[in-house]
Amino acid sequence: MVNFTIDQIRELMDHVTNIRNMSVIAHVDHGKSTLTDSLVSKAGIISSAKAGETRFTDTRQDEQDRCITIKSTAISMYFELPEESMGDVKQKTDGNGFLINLIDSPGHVDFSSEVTAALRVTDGALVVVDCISGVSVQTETVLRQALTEKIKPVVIINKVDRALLELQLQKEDLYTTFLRVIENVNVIIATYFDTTMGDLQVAPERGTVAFGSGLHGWGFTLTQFAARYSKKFGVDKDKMMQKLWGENYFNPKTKKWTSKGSDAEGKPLERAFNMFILDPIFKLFDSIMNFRKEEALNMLEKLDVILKSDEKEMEGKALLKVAMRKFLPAADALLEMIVIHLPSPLTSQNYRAEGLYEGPIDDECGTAIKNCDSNGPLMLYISKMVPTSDKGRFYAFGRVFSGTVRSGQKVRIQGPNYLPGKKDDLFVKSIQRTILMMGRYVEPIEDCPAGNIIGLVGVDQFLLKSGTITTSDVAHNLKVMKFSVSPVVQVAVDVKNANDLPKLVEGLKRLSKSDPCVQCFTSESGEHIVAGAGELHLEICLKDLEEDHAQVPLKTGDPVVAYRETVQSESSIVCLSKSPNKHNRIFMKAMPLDEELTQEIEDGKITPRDDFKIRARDMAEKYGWDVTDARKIWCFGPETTGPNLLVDVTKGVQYLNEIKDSCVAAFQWATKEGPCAEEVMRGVRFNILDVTLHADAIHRGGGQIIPTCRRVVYAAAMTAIPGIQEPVYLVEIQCPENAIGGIYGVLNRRRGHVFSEEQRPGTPMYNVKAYMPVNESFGFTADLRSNTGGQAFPQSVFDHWQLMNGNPLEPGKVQEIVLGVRKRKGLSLDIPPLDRYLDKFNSKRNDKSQISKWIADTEAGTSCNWMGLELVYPELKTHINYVFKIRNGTYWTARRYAKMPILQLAESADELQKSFNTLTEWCKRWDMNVNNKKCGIMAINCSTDSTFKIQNQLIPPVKEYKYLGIEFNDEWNNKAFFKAKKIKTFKSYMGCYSILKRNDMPTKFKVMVIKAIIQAVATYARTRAFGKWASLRTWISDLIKCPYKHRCDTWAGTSCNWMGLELVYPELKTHINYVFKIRNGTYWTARRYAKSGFIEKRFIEECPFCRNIAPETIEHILLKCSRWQALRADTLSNYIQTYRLQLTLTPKSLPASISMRLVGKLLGEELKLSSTEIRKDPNVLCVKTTLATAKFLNVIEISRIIS
Amino acid sequence: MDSFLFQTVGQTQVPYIAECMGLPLFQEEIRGSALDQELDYSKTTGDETEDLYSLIKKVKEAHPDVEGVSVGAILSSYQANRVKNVCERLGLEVLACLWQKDQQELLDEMIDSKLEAVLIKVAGIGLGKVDLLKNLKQMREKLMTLNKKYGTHVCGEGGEYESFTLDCPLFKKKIEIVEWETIIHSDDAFAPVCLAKINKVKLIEK
Repeated sequence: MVNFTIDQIRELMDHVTNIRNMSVIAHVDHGKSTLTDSLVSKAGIISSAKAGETRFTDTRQDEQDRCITIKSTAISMYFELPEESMGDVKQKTDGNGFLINLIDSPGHVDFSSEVTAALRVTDGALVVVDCISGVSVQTETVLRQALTEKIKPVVIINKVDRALLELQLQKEDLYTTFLRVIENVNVIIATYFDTTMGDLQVAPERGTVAFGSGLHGWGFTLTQFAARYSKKFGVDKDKMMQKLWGENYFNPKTKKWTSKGSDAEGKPLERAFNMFILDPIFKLFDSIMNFRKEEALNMLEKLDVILKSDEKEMEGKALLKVAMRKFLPAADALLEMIVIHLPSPLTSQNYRAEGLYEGPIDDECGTAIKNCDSNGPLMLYISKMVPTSDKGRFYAFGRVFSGTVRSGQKVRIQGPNYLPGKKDDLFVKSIQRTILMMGRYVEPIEDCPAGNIIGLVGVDQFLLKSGTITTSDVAHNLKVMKFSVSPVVQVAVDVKNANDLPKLVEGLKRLSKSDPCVQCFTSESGEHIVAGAGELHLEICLKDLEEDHAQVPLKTGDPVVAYRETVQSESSIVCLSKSPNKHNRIFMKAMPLDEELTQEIEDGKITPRDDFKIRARDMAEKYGWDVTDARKIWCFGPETTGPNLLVDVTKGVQYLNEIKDSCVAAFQWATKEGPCAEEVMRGVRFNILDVTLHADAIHRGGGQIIPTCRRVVYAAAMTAIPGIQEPVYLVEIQCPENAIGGIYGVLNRRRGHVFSEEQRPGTPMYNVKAYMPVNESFGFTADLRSNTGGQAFPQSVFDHWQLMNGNPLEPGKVQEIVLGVRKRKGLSLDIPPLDRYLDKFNSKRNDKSQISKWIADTEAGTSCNWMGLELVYPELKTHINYVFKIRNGTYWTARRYAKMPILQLAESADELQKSFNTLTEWCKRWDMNVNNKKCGIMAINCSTDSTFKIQNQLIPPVKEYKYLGIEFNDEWNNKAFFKAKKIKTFKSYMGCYSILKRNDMPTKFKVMVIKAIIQAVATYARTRAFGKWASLRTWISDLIKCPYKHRCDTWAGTSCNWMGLELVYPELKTHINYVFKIRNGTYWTARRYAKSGFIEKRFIEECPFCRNIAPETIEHILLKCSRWQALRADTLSNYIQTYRLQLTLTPKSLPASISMRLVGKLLGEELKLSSTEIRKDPNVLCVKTTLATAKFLNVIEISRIIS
Repeated sequence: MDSFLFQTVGQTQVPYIAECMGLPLFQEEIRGSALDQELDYSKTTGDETEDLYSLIKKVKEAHPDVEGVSVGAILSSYQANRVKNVCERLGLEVLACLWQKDQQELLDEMIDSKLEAVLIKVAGIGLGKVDLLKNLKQMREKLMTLNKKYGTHVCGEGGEYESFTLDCPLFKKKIEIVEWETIIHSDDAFAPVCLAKINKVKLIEK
């Protein structure tokens, strides 16, 4: 009889400290379900005589028939721990009644998704290991899974009876077998060291390892024996435990403990474990199995085992079973181990919370989970759907992490795609009923507090497979489970009678719901595809589909394998695709991703949700990515999490962000259906090199951009030597030695290769490990059995993707495969040619001018070499140079200086004359004359004998020249001039000047200094400030009318002092200064950047100054400024970063003495130049100053010309 | 020809539209190209907008009583700005009656007002040669679906399609297409560009 009531359970549910949620995990056939039986029988649910045979948790008929667990099954049980053991429980407890929620999971790899779902809702795991086959591949997999989920493991070594009865192992051999298993387990655990969980290593002397036989229903931990012997020896129980394991020996003669294997006379001593634990067991086995019943009964009496009279009549194995079960009941040992060593929800959620919750851990829900708070907001994770007896309906099975769930409660049901604040994948519904899962039955229950495992009725329609249920509006999702297997084997299903099709569709929906891993979808050719983790998984799914979910006769095709498309090199050309209206262009290249990086993405170690800065740093360190590139990963794909990356490596493209959504959508689509066979793409990085867009938003909508981006992705992939990856299984086969030959034969025929072959110590069994393509695996098990006389048992688990040799675009095996897939999918029989995706480059004049215009716009005024642009676009090198020359000579220089003195800088005499020539031409076009009397050639650190002409007028060399009010001489030594001008602006010239006169500076750099700083400041800030304002007598009255606005509108370069404003408003001096500082930082930078397209235009609108508002008070304007500054800071810093890294050429290091700070100051607070930084990295100065200034000039200059 | 500003497909049939409306027709060859591709236009020699300028100037000289230019731009500020620029320079008013109108409403209005226009060029995702010469009513559903899926502009404002009007309340006669052929301009995956080349039309009295 069931020895507990639902009320008892319900009451215990409130005592979180006395709950243990645990799953039983192991390799297939290691005896999980059988072992679970002993616990179930202890709870009185099944009779103890049947325990070990019933496999109560294998609820399905096919599970019973096949002797394999397919679905994980949960059961709640109530136990009382004996009072004397309570002292061992190190956690907080409340009474000696315990509620154990146990989940029995399948061991076959094909069903490991069930294990994942089970682990999520539990806190501890009982790892079952077969003492004969040892730690196998699936043991390792599930153990690793458990550890990643932060589940604490305890171990039971099972099937000890077989070791004794079948292998007839000796005591010491058995001990070493045990030792090896424990070591193997600990090796795996050691790789997952996590300080928050404490020491996870298992050890018999600590009671975390049990030994036993599930089939016979007996088992023990050292605790039981220690308790027995501690009385006898009068030693403390804990000390006794230590003695009973490891290198501890007892010398019966001296009655002393020693750690040496031999006594004083050198005679070998028996290990304490063997002597005190194995010895009685061996003797009992020996006497019963050899039918020395008298002896056995005597022994049993001594061991305080009382047999009933009818049991005494038994013989052989039956007697052994009864005797052992009474002597060492497995349930007691397991129970003790579970209660003492596995954590309660309260303990475990404390360290698991962070890994479980997607949101900030310190928000309302995060805190509640951490504290396992039943009164907090409800947070419940649905990990799987369990079919009900009612066809088509499911119990949603999950764990309450915080709060309390009730029947009739109104809750938010959040699917995996839900994002806080949005309404996607969100339903608000009532829970119909809450139920307790009891293996084969369910029991209704009123409510369920945090820490428990529960089934819900009435939410199944709103969730596909898993999801979060909460009552808090602000709750983020609980993390989505990461499965260790992927559905790599597919099969097409169809109905036998066409009339049944709707039933099939409905059935597929149900199937998809009932299994965490299976995928059901419709291919483009209209076939219904079911994808599973392996052959067996697929077989079970199809059977379920036919018999339960659809209930119509089905026909199935041959299983097929999913491939992955990838690329094998970088795109040979820059791919261009134009939008259908031909007004938008995207340039892209593809390249392979590192295999390790790809794997990290697939394993969820690098995810789109990471902080992009941290992710970028990691990728730069580990995979040598450029940090800027890594920060500008637009998206992962397919499904937004896949192992392909879309990276924005463009520079300063206008409106780029507006098309981001369209590109991301197209990318998801394209990576889901690759160019060759429309298989999923994997391990490809796509770089968006450049984009030209129509200036008007209406002409660059999704309808135009999505097809363009998708085409260019395909084009990029096809030009980068496409490749096909096939899935590969790791096959583990156990067999006796004489079967090994057969294994090799079968594997060779199936393109498999063995990479490890070792004998399992202490057994005649061999363990062979091999890789084999999944494609070749169909019928492998049967083939292997027939070739080895049924002696070999394979376990295949998907291991990795392997690139197949060959190019699908060239005839060969790979192409055959691709064409086969295309045929199956009902696609056109040829791979579409590249020109369907690629548009001709430079086919029109416009194309050239577009890209060049952009290039020229980035950095006008200097040759392109140092910018490294020709590295980005090597094929455009001459073109770029050409553009620069034109731009230098005519457009840029001429326009910029049309109304003011020109300073033309060149690196050589030839170049200078060339630019004069173009200037001449330009002047002709614009009907202008150069005043040659005011012209002069002055050399910087060089001399020239050439004669130069503009408009056929000679330009004489000069020794001194006055440019924009500054005197230059060819000695570069007019300190006196600068000293005389005690104005801040001039001080900064002085800084530049010191650069100019140095001999160790590259000329280019000097040229830049003049262009970037002297021209900039002298032309604009100074002329306007001194020239205009000073000459206008009315400026003070202007200011008084609308003082703040006007103060801001003056072209202030630096502090306000020089303007004399503080004399007019002495009481506002600090305020004025402050306004100016902010203004320098915001208005200027914003405007010049935004206008040039450097940052988005909206910043102009958002800038309080640019909006032309007249603030009422200083405080008002400060408030506006600071808000705006924060808003924009992020964007801006990104741009600066990008431009900074464009530079590849490194000038000579600069000496410390140069006061770059001054230069930095000059260019505004925003750029944050410091002299140390410049010394460390000379590029900083070049890029930042030139960029800022060039952009700034560009903007001002154009607006001047137009007005 | 991929003009940023003008519809070039079906231009040979424009005289018939003029005839249907009973209005004089002025034509000029597009010599320039889109040199200034900024959103705002400023006078640029050699730009296609200058061709529009000279055309309208011609119109104004021939009909000094012309006061304004009607432009059908709905959302394209690019086009509207250019017409505006030209008109400002010529002292004319710009009439943009459809400006900023909801495209879906507008499409329905056009269909309801018995405006018979057929697609003669498609260049957008989801549209193909089967859609050529279909009228707006036939296309309505497809365009709405595409709009939902990809954000396609249902009135073809982003260049998704170009149309040719066969009949509308303004027309005194009706155009009927007698002979036409499909030209695949570029057979790109996902969004092929197809044109209907109209070879022969006849006018029918209403």
